[in-house]
Amino acid sequence: MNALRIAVGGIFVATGAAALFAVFRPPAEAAPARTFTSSAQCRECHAEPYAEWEVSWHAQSWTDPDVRALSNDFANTDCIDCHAPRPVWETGLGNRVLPRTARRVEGVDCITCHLLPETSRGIVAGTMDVPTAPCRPEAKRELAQVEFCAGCHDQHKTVEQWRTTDYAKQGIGCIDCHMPFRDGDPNKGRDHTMHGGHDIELVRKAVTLAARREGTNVIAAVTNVGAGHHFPTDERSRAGDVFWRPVAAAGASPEPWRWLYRFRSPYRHETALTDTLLPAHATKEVAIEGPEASGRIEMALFYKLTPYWKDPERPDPDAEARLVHRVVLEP
Amino acid sequence: MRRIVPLVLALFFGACSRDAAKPAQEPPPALSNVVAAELARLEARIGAETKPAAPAPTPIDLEELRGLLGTLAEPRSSFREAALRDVKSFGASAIAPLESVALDASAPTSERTAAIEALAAIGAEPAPQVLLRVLESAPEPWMRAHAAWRLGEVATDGVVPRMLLRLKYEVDAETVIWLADSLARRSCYAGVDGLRVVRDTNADEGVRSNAAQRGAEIAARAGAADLDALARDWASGALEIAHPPPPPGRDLEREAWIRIDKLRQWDLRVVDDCRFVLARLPAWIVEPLTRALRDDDVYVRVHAAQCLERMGPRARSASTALLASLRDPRAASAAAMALGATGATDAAPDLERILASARDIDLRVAAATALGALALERSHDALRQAAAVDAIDLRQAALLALARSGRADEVAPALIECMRLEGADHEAAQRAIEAWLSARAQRGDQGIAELLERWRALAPAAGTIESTAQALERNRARLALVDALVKR
Repeated sequence: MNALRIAVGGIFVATGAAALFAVFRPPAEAAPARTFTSSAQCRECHAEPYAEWEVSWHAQSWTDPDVRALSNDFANTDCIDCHAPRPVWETGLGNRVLPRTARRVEGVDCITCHLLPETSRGIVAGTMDVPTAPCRPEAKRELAQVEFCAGCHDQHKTVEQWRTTDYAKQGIGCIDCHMPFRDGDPNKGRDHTMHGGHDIELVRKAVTLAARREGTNVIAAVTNVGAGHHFPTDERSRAGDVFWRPVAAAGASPEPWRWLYRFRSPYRHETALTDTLLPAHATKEVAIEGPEASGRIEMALFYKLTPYWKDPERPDPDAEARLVHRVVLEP
Repeated sequence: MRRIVPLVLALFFGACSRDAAKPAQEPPPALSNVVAAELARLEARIGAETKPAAPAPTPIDLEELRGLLGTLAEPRSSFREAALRDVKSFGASAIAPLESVALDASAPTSERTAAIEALAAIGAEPAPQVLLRVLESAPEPWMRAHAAWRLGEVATDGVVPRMLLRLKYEVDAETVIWLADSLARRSCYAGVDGLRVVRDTNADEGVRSNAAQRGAEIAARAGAADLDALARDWASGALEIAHPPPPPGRDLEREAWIRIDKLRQWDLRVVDDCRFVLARLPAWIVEPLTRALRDDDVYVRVHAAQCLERMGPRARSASTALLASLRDPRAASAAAMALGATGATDAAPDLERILASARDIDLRVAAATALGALALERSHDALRQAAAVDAIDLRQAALLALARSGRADEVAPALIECMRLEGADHEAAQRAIEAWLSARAQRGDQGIAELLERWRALAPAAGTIESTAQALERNRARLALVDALVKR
């Protein structure tokens, strides 16, 4: 009987002690809060997203030789605002960013998207509140909204283009394509590599190229099937070009490509050019008229990260652009 | 208790001593809606000065107008003056028909240019607006050149900003020549640089000769020895100190404030167009821009400071306002950069203090860059201290500043080290090292001259863009070249 009493008493005591511990246990000790002045500091705890970002074009927005060439080594200072921006949260969602002076080589970095103003509850914006972490993440759903990207990317009208698409109506935003979940698993977080026009596989998913004959004419058809914005979206400095040429006989050297059509929006000084960007869901058909393409021909869509050819009279897309699609049309 | 009392005392004295060590901080400058107030003032002034609306223009005889244009189109006609007088007598009634002729691609060239001349002679609004539209959008370069020429003759100075903006986009050499000439007639010499480029590099000898002749005339009118001296004096501010530009008319002042207002806009291209125009106006624009530094919109404040920065020494009189903006936490970096670019040597103590102790690393980097632009010996020690910190961007900014202010020999090894460091700006380091090598080669060091040749041979060929991998390889190859130099 005594043993039973002791056992029951013990259970009561243990339960009570557990309840008391649960109620009065000390809070998890918070790590000292840190001040963030460089994205390199983020690597200490966030190695995976840092490694992804480090090879991304966001990380190279200041050092990318294409950008340096097109901005005349940033002598065109209006490029600096978005290529070395102060934190998005500093000027606010949907507003444009201001340029920074320090650590420009880090380009569009962790701090740009995540550092919150000093008046905020947390230090950085994240997907959950973690008040004990050194960077004090504060959950900010705005990180996933298109307005977050718009401050910079709508300077090239990308978000404006997206708003007119079916994707906008379906709620499919920037990060759904450009920042997918790692391995498609929401538990693994989003990929910070942020694929875009530099990823030719992504470009291949965005557009199709088809060719057909109509009488003596050949019709090339390019359709924007997958981009949530115009093709190409970076309207001034990117271009998509359609070329064709007769298919070379076995063992013979191919003829040079013959230019057919360009998708691009011109710089303002290029007053002789018109805007030919291809909106989402749209198809552009271009004809090769007459008998010159009556034989077996190949047609190709190339993508250029800079708009100009070394020799505009004799463009060499194989050397200066990236092949998106190629089709062969029989006689 | 025995433990607590000393602790409280320590905390008390610690707090006191921290306060005592803090430099006296003045509050940030007060902000208000400066731009809106200025625009309202100008609108009220223009409203008060505007004459009652003129009666509706009476219809004119188009045949007669065409006949007068035919006379004007004859360069040797003795009736040109009379024809011009008669066209002017039509006043505003003639503007729409003249615009139609000017833009009619099927009309004879001489008649279209005569229409441009007639529009300039009428001068009253909206004739200048028609001339600006021709300048901005006529597909024929000779029409744009004609409009640029005749815009120099209209009375209102409100056309200047749009003429200045055309300098950013115009590709026709003749139009550039006439823009420079017409702007110079209004004490604005921002077109002189483009004129020199045409004079020195245009493929057509006739165009080069025209640019040289026009440039010589502009320089003579401005009292400069030649076009190059004029360009130097304009950029350094010496010209406007010797010959202060006339104050702007109300139209130009209003156009300037409209552009300051647009600095808050979302579209960076609009903002940059405004920065381009504002930074090229005569020096009277410094005063409105310094007032804009107190606007309650952060974009207006930051971009106004950037305009002053781009004006360089022409905006030297902005130093007091810019110094106050160093206390504006959101515009301080831009103000610091502007103080450096404008040559505000009186700002050196404040910039050195910021360099040493500001919390914001962005502001410290801006201060280092500004001190480099000022190139004062007094700042060398402050820069040396900054060049020893851990933060690579601040360290490199201080090294670049020292190199710029005559200490390149001293900091070259550290700059070479920047070429291998993660987080350093390798391109900026290469530029500074190339300048240092070039200076040493010019001092007659034959070995350095040969090394410089090898260094330059690694640059990408003209007209080609490197890949990222090639840029990294170039950095590595150049590092190997100069590494040996340091070890030697």
